[in-house]
Amino acid sequence: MASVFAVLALAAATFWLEAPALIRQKQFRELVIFLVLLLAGSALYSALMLQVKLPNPFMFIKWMYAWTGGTSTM
Amino acid sequence: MSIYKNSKISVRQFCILIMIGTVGDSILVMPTITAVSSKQDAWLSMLLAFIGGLITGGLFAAIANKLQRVSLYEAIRQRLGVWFGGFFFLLFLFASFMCCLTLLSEMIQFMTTQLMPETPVTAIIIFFAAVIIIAYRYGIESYARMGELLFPVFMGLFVMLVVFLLPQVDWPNVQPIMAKGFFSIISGAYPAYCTGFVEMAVLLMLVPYVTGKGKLTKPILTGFTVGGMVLFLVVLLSVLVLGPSLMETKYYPTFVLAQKIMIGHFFERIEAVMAFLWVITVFYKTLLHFFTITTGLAQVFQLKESKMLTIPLGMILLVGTVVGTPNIVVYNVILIEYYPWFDITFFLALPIVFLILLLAIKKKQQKTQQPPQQQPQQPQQN
Repeated sequence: MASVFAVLALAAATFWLEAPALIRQKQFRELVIFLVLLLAGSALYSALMLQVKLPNPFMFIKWMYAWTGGTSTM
Repeated sequence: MSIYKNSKISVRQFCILIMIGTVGDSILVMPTITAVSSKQDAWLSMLLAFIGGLITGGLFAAIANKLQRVSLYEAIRQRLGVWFGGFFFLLFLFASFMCCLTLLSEMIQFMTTQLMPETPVTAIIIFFAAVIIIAYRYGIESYARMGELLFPVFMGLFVMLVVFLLPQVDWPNVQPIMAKGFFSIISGAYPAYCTGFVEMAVLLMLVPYVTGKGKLTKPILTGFTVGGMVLFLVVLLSVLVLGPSLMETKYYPTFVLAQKIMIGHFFERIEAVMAFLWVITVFYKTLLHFFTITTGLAQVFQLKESKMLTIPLGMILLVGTVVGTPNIVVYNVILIEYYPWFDITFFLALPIVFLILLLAIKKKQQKTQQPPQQQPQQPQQN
């Protein structure tokens, strides 16, 4: 659980580092994209720390190209 | 993207970035990839991949010249519109994201199996990703200059590796030549070509930052040639010194090569120094792909800044890397069997589509521009 708090602290620190300048310069589009990515990153990182089973991104590639049978069948 | 708005890199720096990027992770994995299929003919596979790489370099150069220092996204958007063009470009960014994951995976696997077996994987990724994020935030000019500075170090270490291994060369290791036929050579060349050369499609993202208006064919082809030569020599030395059996079974034959260096029982165990050589190349290739993702996202969403995306993207990459690498065996099967197809689709087929678009739309513009140019001339002729 401590590691999840560490992730949240990192996310908060990143927000504190980046957001004020974006708000001051009225870059709201930048702020929205930043927040979306930060939330996604924090959620995924927290899930990893909580040992939630996440899908393997490389399995997507294997699924995508299963029809080729792999390069060894060349 | 204000930090990069006025950033410029010289043609020489562009060329060096391509050289280092081409060597990239291939210096570590290439001998194994080629030896799996072609055994002692791995050097022939690498030679074939090198020739293919030069042709691909020519293709990328054609696209880079057509771009005329306009960003890749801008060029696509002008021809396909925001939505369709954005979709195509996001596919390219997705490919770069996946490539970043493979590079980080290879880095942590190498570090945990060879250099720091007891260090947690997450710690290694955090430090490696932190350096990439910091480099990105300093700007393209800074890391292009750093590349210029590190390139002689890289070449020096590489020459040292080659020269010190020459006494251990065993020529019978390459025999029999083409014993398993030409298809096994092609089978070995295919993943080598994809990993070494096709993934360098990201060089197209650097084009707007290169100074001058001249053609970029020469720096791109020089970069591919030098990078390809380095990779060819690494594979050839692996065959000659280690032999096909060791190449195939060892995950990092280049590291084993460095361990083999032994001059007069006083100059040995320099593999940790040599490790610096591939840390530089993997770092630069990862940085180029990270640059593509971050800058590309900023372009698609029309953001004025991109550096605030670096830490969240770093977090996502960290999770993807840890989840994507359950163990080295599963990862290597996917890397050798399926990943080349992914590379071909997103880093070769997609740029070919981009080139066709660039050529086709230009023709359309020429056709539409012709009538107004001819109209004033017609009364003069009459």
